[in-house]
Amino acid sequence: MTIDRRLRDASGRLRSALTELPVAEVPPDPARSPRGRAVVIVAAVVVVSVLVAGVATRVDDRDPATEHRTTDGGPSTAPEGAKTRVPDIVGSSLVEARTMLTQADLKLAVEEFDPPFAEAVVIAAEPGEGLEVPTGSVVGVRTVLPDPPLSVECPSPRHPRGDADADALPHVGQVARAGAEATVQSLRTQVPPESETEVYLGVWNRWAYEEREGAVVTEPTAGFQAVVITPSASDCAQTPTFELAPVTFVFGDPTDWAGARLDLDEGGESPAERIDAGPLSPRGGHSVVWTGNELIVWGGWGDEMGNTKRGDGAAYDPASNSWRMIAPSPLSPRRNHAAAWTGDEMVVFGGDGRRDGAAYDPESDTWRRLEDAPFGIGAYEVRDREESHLFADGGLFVWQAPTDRVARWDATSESWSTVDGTGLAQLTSGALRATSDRLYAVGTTAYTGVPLLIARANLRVSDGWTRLEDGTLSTSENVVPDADPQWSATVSDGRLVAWSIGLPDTAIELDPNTERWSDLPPHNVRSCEGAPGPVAMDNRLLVQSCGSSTVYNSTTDSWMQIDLADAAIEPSTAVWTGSELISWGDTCCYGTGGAAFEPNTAWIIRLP
Amino acid sequence: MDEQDEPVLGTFEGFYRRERRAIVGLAFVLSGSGAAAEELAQDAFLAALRDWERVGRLEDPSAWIRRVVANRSVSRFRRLALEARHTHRGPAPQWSSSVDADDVDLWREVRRLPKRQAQVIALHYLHDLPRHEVAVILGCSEETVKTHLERARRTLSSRLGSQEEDGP
Repeated sequence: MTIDRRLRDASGRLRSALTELPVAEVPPDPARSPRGRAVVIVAAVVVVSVLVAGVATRVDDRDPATEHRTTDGGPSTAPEGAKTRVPDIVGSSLVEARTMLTQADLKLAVEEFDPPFAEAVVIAAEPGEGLEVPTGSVVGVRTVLPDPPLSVECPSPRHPRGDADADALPHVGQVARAGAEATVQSLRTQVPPESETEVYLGVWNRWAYEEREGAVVTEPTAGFQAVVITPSASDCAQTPTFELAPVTFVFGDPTDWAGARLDLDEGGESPAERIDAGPLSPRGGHSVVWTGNELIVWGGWGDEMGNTKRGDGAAYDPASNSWRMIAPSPLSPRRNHAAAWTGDEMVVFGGDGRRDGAAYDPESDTWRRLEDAPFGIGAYEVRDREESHLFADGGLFVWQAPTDRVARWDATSESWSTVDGTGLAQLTSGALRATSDRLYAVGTTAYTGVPLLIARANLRVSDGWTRLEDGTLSTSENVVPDADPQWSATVSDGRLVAWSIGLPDTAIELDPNTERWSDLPPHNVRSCEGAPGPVAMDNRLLVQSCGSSTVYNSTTDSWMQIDLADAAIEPSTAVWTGSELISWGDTCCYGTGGAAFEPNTAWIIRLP
Repeated sequence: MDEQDEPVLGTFEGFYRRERRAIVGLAFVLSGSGAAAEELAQDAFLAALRDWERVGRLEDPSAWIRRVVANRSVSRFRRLALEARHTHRGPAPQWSSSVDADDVDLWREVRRLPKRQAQVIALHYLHDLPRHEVAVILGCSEETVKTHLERARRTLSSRLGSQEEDGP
């Protein structure tokens, strides 16, 4: 049976099953009910005593749904067979917690088990009943397990964790802070009776935090939750081993899962600082430019259906950590426009396929209109608008990717001229990038792992494009059939660097002299669909993928994993000031809030 | 839609009764839990109710709520919160318990797909929507939907051992 038929049949059966769903009355709005208004302070701490039995220890056939774990206020008691007792860090200061965990060598606690079904392990002792936890203290720790190598496949994985997937172990360890509801994870576990369990990972518990006279008191609200047990070895003949990410503390605001993490090994603070997001309403498709003093955010759209476009803007001054609204623009509300800083003004052109433009002077807080562009910019279907324009050498280049239409607006004469873009239409998506003297158009021709196709033009002469060699991958053996290479490129330290978020371990750079590609060192950054492209910061390159952040340093020619907490940095909505990276706005094209984008977030990243 | 050309505001109750089962089904495919699906749907309808003056005048409120649920169902935090809440509750709703075991496996594989692909599969098959309508709901091009469909079917065929044959 074809997969198409299976999906259709299953859909039909599900629709039939749904006829059993009673059509209930129109739902009452809990936000308007007294109960909904009550302050409910509920947090759940996944309390996992990581107890790795390795391959030798087996856990009995206890029923995780009925077993109850007692709490005595002290450190968690490891079940028989455990190698590691997890220290009680709850309520301790960060320094104390780090010391205890270091002494406990918690890395050993999670070294070997079958991780195809687990991404993260949360390590913490249970807070005792009635334990007072000072506000802001550590309540959890986690480490992240990488995905298994692509070569490892369980032929018929039997996942005893039910429908919990890799995301089922989220960031945990909220600041014990009362007054806010914390969404917390749980893990429904169904251990097949025939399972030969080998690894006992943890005990989960739920806790409520209540504020009492300035302190936060933990109270268990439920008993034993689940045991995570890997499937039998027979289900997955090959048990790979992995390098674990450093154990990290997690603390922060449980209401929005923001917060910083501290690298246990490095012992440094996260370089990511969440800042005031300012007065603008939530939006996407906006522009950000850096003036040298301020970050200016302008335009965008406020809901997923495109019904509310924005024509307002605001400026953030990192020196004073303050925002100001900027003067109303003569341009109509729009998204996906081209915006750039000329050195004196912010120029804005197009958006939603429009051609008109205007310039904003932050000194006088005034706008003025500019000459129309020769073609529409930022039409809805041209999604890569942020990639398709840049200001370089005194002009704003705009490429209407994926066509061959290119134009340049000269900041001195304030006029447009067309640029020959012959050959560029073959790129299915595109990005303009510039080094000191050359302009590059970067893109791919297909989704099938075809290497990068690139062209360049002399930046000043603009005498046409020269096709460069395709980006070749010495790591081509890693190319996954059917993988979408999703190339993106940036200029770091004067070199064009191309990065694929669809292919594992793929990053190449173009030598500016020979214009030949070479591999960057292996980075072990996992590839994730939808991961943002790299962000250049002088000699460093920030890459985010699968929730992790990695920085390539061209000076040392090495990669280093860093912890940026929940900051998701999108190249199109971030600026490099020369000393710090400032990011503003939702990074995704749609928000979980349904019709509206998520509330704005803003970050400053200061790398050491 | 021209903002001056607002459609007549329909009743929320009619909208709710017409769409509820479909929305619960969509949430079920994307979240994997009957109880969570009902709550996801409930939350989405509540969001619509609170903003019905606007949502009800949209050109296609059905597309709106499908997008809301499609996004919320794959939202990691929202799903985790639901899992936490439903862990202590009773058995799954009767309608979801009656879903065929093989189909449960199939939908589980759908959820293992990248989020966008899973959304496209759910909307295209469960709601029997053509590609261009899926594109409207997800805010992408029809070509993008086609690509996601092809990749999703290829992946599912590989994982489930089915024949790979393009659907429409």
